[in-house]
Formats: sequence, C-alpha cells, structure tokens
Amino acid sequence: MTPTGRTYAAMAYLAAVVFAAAIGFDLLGMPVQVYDSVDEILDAQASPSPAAMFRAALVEDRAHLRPLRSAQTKLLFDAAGGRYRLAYRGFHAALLLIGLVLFTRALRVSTAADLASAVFALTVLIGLHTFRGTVQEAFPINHFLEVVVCCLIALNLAQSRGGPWIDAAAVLAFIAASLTLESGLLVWVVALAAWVAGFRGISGRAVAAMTVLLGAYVGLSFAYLDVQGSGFAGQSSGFLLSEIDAAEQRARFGNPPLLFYAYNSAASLMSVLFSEPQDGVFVGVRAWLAGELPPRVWVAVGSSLLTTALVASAVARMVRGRALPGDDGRLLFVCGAVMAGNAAIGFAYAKDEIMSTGGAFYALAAYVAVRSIVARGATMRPLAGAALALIVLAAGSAWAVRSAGVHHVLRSQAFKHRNDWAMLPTLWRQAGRWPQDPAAVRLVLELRSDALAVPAPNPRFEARWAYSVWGD
Amino acid sequence: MVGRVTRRTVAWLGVAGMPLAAAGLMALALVMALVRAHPMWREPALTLAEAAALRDAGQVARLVGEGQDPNGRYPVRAGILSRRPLVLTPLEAARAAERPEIIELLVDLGATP
Repeated sequence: MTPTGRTYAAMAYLAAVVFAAAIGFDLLGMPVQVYDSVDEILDAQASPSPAAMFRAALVEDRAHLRPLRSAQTKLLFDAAGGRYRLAYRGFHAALLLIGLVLFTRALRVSTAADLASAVFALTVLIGLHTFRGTVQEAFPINHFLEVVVCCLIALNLAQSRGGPWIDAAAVLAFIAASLTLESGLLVWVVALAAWVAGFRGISGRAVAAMTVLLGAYVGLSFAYLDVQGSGFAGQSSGFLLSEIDAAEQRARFGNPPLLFYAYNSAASLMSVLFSEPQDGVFVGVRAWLAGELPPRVWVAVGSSLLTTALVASAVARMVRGRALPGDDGRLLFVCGAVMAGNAAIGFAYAKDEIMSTGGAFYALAAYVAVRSIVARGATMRPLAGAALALIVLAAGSAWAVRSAGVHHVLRSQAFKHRNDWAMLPTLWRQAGRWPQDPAAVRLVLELRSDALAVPAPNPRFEARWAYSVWGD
Repeated sequence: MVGRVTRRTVAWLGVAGMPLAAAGLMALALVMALVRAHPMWREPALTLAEAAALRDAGQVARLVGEGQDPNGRYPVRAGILSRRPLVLTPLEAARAAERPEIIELLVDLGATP
C-alpha cells in the first residue's frame, strides 16, 4: 500500500475508533442488567472454575449447546477483582472496538473513494436496528456481538494470504462461536462462501475441517439436546402486524409450524434489507394503518430501501458481466451468503438481534455498492451522476441520523436497568427468590449499589422529538 | 479536470458528509464527557418526591440510601404532576402519578403507607 493509501486506511480506522469509543463510553456508564444476567453472575460466583462452568453447562443445559458462554462469564467474574460492571461492560466495549476495527480492516481502504464509502458503511453498520441487539443488552456478555466478531475474524482470515496459522485461527473461531451461540455456525458460512467466491486465505482443508465439526455439532444437537425444551419451539414471535405465542403458532400453522418458520426466515432477511418488518412485525405498515408515520419509521425504511437498491444495482452489474473488480464481487457473494444463512438460522422466531451478523455483512455490501458509485462518479453523465449523488446523500444522511440513535437507546436502557436493580430486592423477596447464601446476598447488594450510583437520565427530560426519531 | 475534481468532491461529500458529521458529533460528545458535560448523560437533580412521580425507581432507592426521609415532604416542580409546583411526600407523589411499583418500593424502603 502506498503512503497515501496508508493514510486513508488510518483515517478509516480513526473513524471506526471514534464510533466505537462513543458507544463504548455509553456502555461503560450502563449498569450490568438484571434480567438474564444476574442469575448467570451468581452461577459464576458459585462455580469453582471456568472449566467447571463449561462442564456444568454441557451437562445441565440440555436445551442449548452454549457452554463457552457460561465459561466466559466465569472467566470475567474471576478477573473482575470485585469491579464487575467494569469487567463485563469493559469487555463489551472492547468487543465492540474489535468488531469495528475488524469491519474496517475487511474494507481494505486505500483511496479517498474507499474512505468515503467506509465512513458511510460504518454508519450503516451502527445505524441498522439489528446492531442494537449487540449493544443494548448483555447477559452479562453480549454473545450476538461475539458471533459478529468471530464472523468478521473469519472474513479477515479469508482475505489474508493464508497459511497454517490462518487455518488454525479460522477453525478456532468456528469452535468458539458455535459453542457460544447457535448463530456462531455462521462462521462456517463465511468460510465456505469466501472459499467458493475465490478468497483463499482459509484453505479448502480448513473449510473441510469446519464442515466435519459442523456435522459433529448437528449430530450432537439431535442426539443430546432436548430440542422441544430448547425454547426454539416455545417463543412468541411477530407475524404480520402483531405477535403470536407458541400455542397460536401451532393452531394456525400446525406442529411443527413449517410455514411460520419460512415466514420467520423471510421476515428476518427483509428486516435487514428493508428495515421492515422488525422482530417479525410490520411496524411501519401498522403505524401507517393507524394513521401515523413517525420519522423513525420512514427514516429507517427509506435509508434501507435506498441502500438496498444501490446494493442490488451493484449485484446486477456483476451478474450482467460488468463485473466489479475481483474482491468486490467476492465480498458481495459472501455478504449475500451470510445474510441468507443468518435468516435461515433464525427460522424459529424472528428477533432482530439474531440478524446482527447479517446486518454487519449488509453494511459490508453497502460499502461495495457505494464505492463502485463513487469510483464511477467522475465518468458518469451529469444527470445520472447528480441523481445518484442525491440518492447517496439522502441515504447517508438517514444512516447518520439512525447511527446517532444508538446513544438514545443506550441511555433509555441504562434508566431501565437501574430501575430493575432498584426493584430487585422487593420483587425477589415477594417471589421467594432472595438468595440464602450470604456471599450471594453480598454480591447482589454490591451489584445493586453500583447500579444505583450510575447516572441514568430520566426519559421524561428528553426532547420529545427523540422518541419520534429514534424510538425506544 | 476542474469538472472532474468538482464532481469527485461532490460525490465524496454526498457519500461521507453526513456520516462524517455524525462521527464529529460523537467525538465532540466524548470531549465534553471529559469535563462531565456529555450531552446525552447529564442527569438533572430530582427531589425524592419528583423521582417517585417520574417512575425513577433508581433515584428513589439511591436518595433513600443516601439518608433522605421516605416520609418527608419535598418540592415537586411545575410540569411534573400539575401546572403549579407542589410539596408532597414521595408516596403522595407516586399515588398521584399512578405508579404502584414505586409505592411498593417506597413502602419497602420504610415509607409509612
């Protein structure tokens, strides 16, 4: 890379770091959440070691295969030295920084056009509603974000020159991701799609090894796990204009509700491409039918429609034989495969956070599309160039607005989490859940005291337009 | 050449202008955070009664934990429960705002029902 190219790359990394630092600051200021988190932390306290927690998760949790998730919770607990919010939120912020840096690295920025497109793509990544699932909650670790990071690791490895260490790292990333969360299997999708597309950083042997491991994972899941009790078959989910529970799913679609599963996958993919539906519900259509269309709906749908149109245009050019330069076409192929694979994995119920990896790869596709426009801009006819410039300006503006909304959402979550901590002793005593172990009581009270000390602005004092533009 | 440069600049600004502005604002907010003035994370001071009226269980628990009397009377500024300022106990404020969970919390923290 030329010195000028390195400068452009450095500026792209700087933009990524600024975005990561801004969101990381919010994360560090948030309390550890109560729900789906405190019980895990108490388990970590009671467990003698990460290895013991790994084994216990394998043996006791017959609904899922997520032993590494539990072991990580214990690892961080032990490393926290009593500063649990710093440990868990610090890890969350560090993971976010790594993710944005890996994302930027995958863009291979070396020109001014690359840099402009990279900044655009970063706002797509952060502004897409599927990204919120990687930051607004943590259990106490956000495993959706971990999967995104593992998939970006795999992509970067695929783009590299290759070698045995690269192959080993790719296989390790797959093992780590798949034992953390089911959507970690997407690492295999990244590796396979990259190899099929022509990236040779991860060798065919490594892809084959991952495929064998995938087979073992699937076999273990069917032989060992209680799929019915997994919650996959018992979750409520959005359908058209409302949510329906598991009983209604069976009543409407039979058991298993195969058509409903098909809807969930389609809705998940559409959610990334068009920001509608969200969590399986056509919230925009519902709002329009109710006679109100707040900015958060038309900004979201508009930005996604424009960007998806640009991506589709880039794909069409590739298909028509006016091929995008080598790696761009390969990257588009990988992005399409990951989005489709992510949608397939999300068949059981439509939740936006499940599509967080698909959303990240959508942002990569947006980079390719926009960069091709910027590169062609100088040679376009003036009218066509002006029209495309307007489209990109409108989309970029909308994504900038959406990306700023992450801070609004995190602030709302901080208020909610702090309230949950305030209510915890009252609610747990009523439910008979207050711990008997004095060490557990001390831990809960310590976490609560830390949470109550965190500033969390009351939403009542927010500007009214904030909810209209960014929702909650 | 001037035309190509102008078009390239316009294209660049069109693509990256607003996203760069977003990044710039985030950087500015981080700088302001260094002097404890982050625009998104400034918490207004609330009295115990105001916190109860505004469903701020966290503030209620914190203020009582700091020694404030859950049975005391506190100002509630205009615009929270009515157009004029009031002086209420936290329980009265929670009842007026129809916050049963806050009432429950206050009783748990020692408020006399």
